[in-house]
Amino acid sequence: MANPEALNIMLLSGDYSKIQAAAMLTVMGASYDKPVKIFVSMEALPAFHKDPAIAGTISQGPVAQKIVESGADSFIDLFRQAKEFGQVTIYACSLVMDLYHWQTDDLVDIVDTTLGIAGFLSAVEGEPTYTM
Amino acid sequence: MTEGLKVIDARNSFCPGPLMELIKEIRQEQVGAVMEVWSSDAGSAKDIPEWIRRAGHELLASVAEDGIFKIRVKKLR
Repeated sequence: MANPEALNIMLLSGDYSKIQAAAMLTVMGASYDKPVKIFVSMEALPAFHKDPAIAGTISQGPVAQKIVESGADSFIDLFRQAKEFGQVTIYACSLVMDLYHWQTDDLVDIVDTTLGIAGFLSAVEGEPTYTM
Repeated sequence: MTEGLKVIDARNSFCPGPLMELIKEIRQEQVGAVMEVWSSDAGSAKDIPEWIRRAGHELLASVAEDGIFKIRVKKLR
């Protein structure tokens, strides 16, 4: 059943700043007891790979570089904290997983499972969903 | 300083660091606990009271002293 209080995100960008913004939204939403579902796809998914050589391929603009230099929590840290705060589920897009022949174990442990777009649309139907 | 007041010193932490510190701390405390977060970030001085209101806690005070914002909150739930 659709929950109008839910917060859902389609995370598609491979830009560090957008992923960081999604993580900040997620942690705040979770702190308000909002259930949060995040579908990580396209250029965003490599950012969640365990291998730093792969995760490091995402782009960093000037603001992202400042964030990193400041020593602020990374988006991985923020997503992890969000999962401690509340009901946060992170899905890895099946398409990208298949393209790279990755398994869930290849991704950082904050990713819960893989899911296709139809499954995500069904999971968030009728609920607020943002695309980044 | 109120005796027994828990101070969360988040000075020199960038937004949303001070709020994150408060959220982590308030989750550990009992209902009725009073704590005060210190922040040197002006944005957090606006953000934290909004979070307190939305999260259902009580904002007891918000003052600025020598560039440090001190926000006192009571945990209500």
